[in-house]
Amino acid sequence: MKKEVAVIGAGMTLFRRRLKETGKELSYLAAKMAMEEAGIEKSDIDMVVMGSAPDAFDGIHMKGENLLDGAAGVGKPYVRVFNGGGTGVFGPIAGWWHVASGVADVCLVVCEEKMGSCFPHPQTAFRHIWDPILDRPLNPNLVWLFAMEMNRYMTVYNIKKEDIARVAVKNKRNAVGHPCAQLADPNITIEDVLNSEMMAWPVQRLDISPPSDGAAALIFCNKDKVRQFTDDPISVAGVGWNIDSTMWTNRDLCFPRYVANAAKMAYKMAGITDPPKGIDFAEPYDPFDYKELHHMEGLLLCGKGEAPILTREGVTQRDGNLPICPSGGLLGVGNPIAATMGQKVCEVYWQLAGKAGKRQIPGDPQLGVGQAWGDIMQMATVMALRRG
Amino acid sequence: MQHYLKKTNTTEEQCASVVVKNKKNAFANPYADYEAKITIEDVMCSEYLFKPMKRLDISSNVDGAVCFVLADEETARNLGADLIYLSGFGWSSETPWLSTRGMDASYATKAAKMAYKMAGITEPRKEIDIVEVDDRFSYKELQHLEAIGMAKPGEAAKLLEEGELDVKGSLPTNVSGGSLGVGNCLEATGLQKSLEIVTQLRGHAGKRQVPNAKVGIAQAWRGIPSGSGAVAIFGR
Amino acid sequence: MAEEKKYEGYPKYAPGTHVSTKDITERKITYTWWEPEVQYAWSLGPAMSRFLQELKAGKIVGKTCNKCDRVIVPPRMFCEYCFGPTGEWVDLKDTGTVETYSISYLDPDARRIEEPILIGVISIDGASPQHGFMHYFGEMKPEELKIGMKVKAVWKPENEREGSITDIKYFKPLKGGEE
Repeated sequence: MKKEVAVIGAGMTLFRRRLKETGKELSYLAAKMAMEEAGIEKSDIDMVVMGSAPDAFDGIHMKGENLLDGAAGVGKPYVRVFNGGGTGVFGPIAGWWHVASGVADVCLVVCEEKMGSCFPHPQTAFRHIWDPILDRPLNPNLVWLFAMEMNRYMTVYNIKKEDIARVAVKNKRNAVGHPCAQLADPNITIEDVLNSEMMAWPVQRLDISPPSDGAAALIFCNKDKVRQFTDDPISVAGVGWNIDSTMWTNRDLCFPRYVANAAKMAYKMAGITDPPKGIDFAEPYDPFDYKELHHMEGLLLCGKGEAPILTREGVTQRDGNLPICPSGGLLGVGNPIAATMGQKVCEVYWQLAGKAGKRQIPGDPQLGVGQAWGDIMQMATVMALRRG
Repeated sequence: MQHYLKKTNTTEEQCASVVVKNKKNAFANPYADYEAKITIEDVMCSEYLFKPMKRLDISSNVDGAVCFVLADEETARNLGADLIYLSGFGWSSETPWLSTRGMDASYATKAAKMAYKMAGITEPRKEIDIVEVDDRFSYKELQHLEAIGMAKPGEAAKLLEEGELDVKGSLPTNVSGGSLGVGNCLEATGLQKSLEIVTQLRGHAGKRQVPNAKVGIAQAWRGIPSGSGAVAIFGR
Repeated sequence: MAEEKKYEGYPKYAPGTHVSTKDITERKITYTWWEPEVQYAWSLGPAMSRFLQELKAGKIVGKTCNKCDRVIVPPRMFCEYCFGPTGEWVDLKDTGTVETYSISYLDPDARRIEEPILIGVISIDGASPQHGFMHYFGEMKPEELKIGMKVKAVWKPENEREGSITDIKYFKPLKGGEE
């Protein structure tokens, strides 16, 4: 009953702290690029999904409506989805629903974010995600939340800060040669990260990805019709999503069990029984360097506490056995929340299609996994793509 | 509203009748919050807030929640459920630019077209027994009935006056009380309307039961400032 | 709007025009400005209302979920795991264990501060393991803060308590022998 779904095009804008273009214009630029790659017009698109994080950043209520013309949605069935940082992979999952269910043959997914509009800093909008009764009266800063998770992870598994900083170095170097990258740095070292300004111990400035403006787009197509577009299709192998309790103070933050649940759902669908063997490369969500490690373990790519060892041994470099974040991730390319679809799912597609240029992973990768993470450390979204 | 009244020769009094009908219908609905016995004169005397909209033409907000559980047919059967099928659905968005947007609720027309195709309905007026359309503003009920093909342009007001839109009429519309009677559920409006249809199809609607309801349609609009809407068709 | 540079591989170009904060503050680009004024009055629900009333009285309370066999704090009306109603109210101690913490050199508005803020999650004695809430730490040096450390709540004087999480000022180290 379920249709097979293929990806036929992807697009991405420049990612910067502030871009001149409006949200609609960024959506248009990304969508146009994807449509150019696929060789289609707006009239070929049946339905549109928009992924975009809180309205509070743009200060535009119901912003999905505001963005719809830039997302080629006028006159079409159009829906906006959102689950915080998870949106970058949830947008594609929703696009997959549209085609797998048979109601659409071609579905465009656009993910857009304009964090630059919130002045002077999106931190002001972020303050509103905290529980009004328990957390907000304590005036928390968002960085505290990640610092607490990072501390717990480091303490439980006895992880040194150098091994975490190594991820930031890898990703910022990987981002060199990515046209959209905001923070690519070919010369960055572990010492640079360890010497950077202490924000909320143990989090330092270079551990964090910046807020950004940007947009990305992806086009899904019913596999029965994919030969019109390409002879070498890349298909959706599996999807999974899972959310944990909002009461984050009642959870042990050292392991993201909701990521494992989402991954299991996706792997089951994809027929992956041994993740480290069945998966050739992955793009886990890396808004902080420790998150890449945390999510690698959540994605069951290694045992708990083992991700730092793999990183130290070079396994996760582009030319290693299990390349992680070959795009440069959020740490290297930027973090326009939902638009990180560009590094997480668009990148997996471009790598599998052999189109990643300077970032291309050697060998012949057959299956890659993209993952995103959102809300108050609770949402996990996973999508696996494969050649053929 | 101005555009609709002019184009279809509908009067403000006819729109006021919608308010009267829906607020009266709400008495039979246990969860409705704005039931009231009012007359057309009451509506016409309420002050103009945004001419030609008067205060009583506009539904008031309400808090609430609606939950649906969906399952595939086999699972539902095994659970012993009273099977009501979601037989068709559709949704559509018009441009966000107010200056270039049409004013004929084309989002409803497109959404309904998609839903009818899916449900295999070719003559909606004949094949559908009960209707819940978005009536956040009184004229919207009439506009939406016409947009989804239940009446010709300008005909909805006539059907209303002839009593066809009442519980006992040939096209029972918003017997739940609609947004005018229940309250404006904002983003939950669509599900409130779907709840009414399912309740009716199950025969659980008590005093407001439409006899022999077998196929029903729920239509909702996203509300200001959007030109987006969706339609769902339920059947036994 | 599109950048002229072409790249090997995809994306072939990176459309978008970079502007800086200075471009905005020095009005080098056209922009429009708005400050929303929004006020909220949230109803607290049955569980939180009682929790805050008890905080005002100088007590931390939790609620049981009999099906999951756990004592939950902060208390809620329903258990999010078994999806059933919670059971009885339970008085808890005002001591606990540090589950995790951070030493922050940023204040709530992301401005740098000299004296760091000590913040963390404390699991409360009497509740199920790892059940607690976020709060400040005080009367200790940053180096003393450790995961697993025992701490005790320091309350505001009774006449200053309002029925808020801030009725507790912070948690301090629990010395041996103290209750």
